[in-house]
Amino acid sequence: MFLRILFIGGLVSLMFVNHGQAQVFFGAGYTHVKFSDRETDASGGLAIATHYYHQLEDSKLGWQVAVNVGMMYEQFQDEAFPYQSYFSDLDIIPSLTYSVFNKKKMNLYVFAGPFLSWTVGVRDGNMDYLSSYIDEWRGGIDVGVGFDYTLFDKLQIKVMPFTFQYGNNNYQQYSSVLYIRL
Amino acid sequence: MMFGVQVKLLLIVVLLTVSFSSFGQLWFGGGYTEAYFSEDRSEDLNGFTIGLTKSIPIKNEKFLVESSFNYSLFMSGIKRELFPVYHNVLSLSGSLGYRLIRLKKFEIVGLVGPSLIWDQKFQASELTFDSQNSSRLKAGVVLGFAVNIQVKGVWFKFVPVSCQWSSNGYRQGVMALYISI
Repeated sequence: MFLRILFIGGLVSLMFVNHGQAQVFFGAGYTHVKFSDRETDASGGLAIATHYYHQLEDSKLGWQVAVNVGMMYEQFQDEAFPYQSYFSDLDIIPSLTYSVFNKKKMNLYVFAGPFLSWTVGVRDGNMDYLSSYIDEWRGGIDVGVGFDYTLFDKLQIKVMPFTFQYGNNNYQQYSSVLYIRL
Repeated sequence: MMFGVQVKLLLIVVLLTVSFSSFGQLWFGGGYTEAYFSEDRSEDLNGFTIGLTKSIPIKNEKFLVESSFNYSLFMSGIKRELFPVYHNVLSLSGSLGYRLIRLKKFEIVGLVGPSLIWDQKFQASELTFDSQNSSRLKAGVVLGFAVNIQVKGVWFKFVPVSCQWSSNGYRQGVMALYISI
């Protein structure tokens, strides 16, 4: 319940983030999730991401807030439990950023912050087990690298080649996403 | 059908291109959604939607182009005790809007345009029934209106109703609240 309140609170906070020059990015990529130590307790799929980025003036520091949706369609089954599950993974990630290399058209930065993740979906059943729904909350730390490049005045892209999340119950998620500035 | 799928797709691409390459107003928000997934209305599900919208004013700001991306998840199907079904829908739309009423801090906008819908479905196996999954991409039409209100310098967009129609009896209704970011 606490995590849910935090999640909703985070979304409401995000809605009021409207100070300064807004840099909003929207993109898509690949994400891979591992729910526990078991190699087969994992899935991968499409990540759709919205991203608010703000760099402080005359400073290497900044902050960003990301809302990501992962749609998991890949299945990593094992012989002991050959059943499918389909689910979505919704994340909210506020992070601090530090610019490593910043030139006129380029900005390479690293970021770190907490994340909150909600996983919801459906799992197969059989004669012995009824099918069931997945409704799990996880929290942890998110770190990654971002690279902004301005192609023209009105066209700016962002690549986040590597984002890693580590959460409770040995939850791990990797993502690679390409964004365009809206 | 008056417009073929290719024409609708082309319209969406054009509208999205115009929208992405221009400066405009961005909105982020979410709300309630309900959808019929079949002609006979046997699959009537509800859930939530979150979305991002960009509005570009054109022609003396009376008209506007609005591109929207929405992700919808239908919780009533997922939490069903028997035969749970997972549906997620991604929709992209490029609409033409007209400001019906325009005051300093209040406006009502009517919107209509083509949309692209990607519906992913998974019916879990149960007892002796096997699981089924499908992934369908289809074109549709979206029609709705929005009420934009400015409160203490911040613009809010309330969409009391927005409907989307597509083939095979697919219909989706949305009620949502957005904030300008």
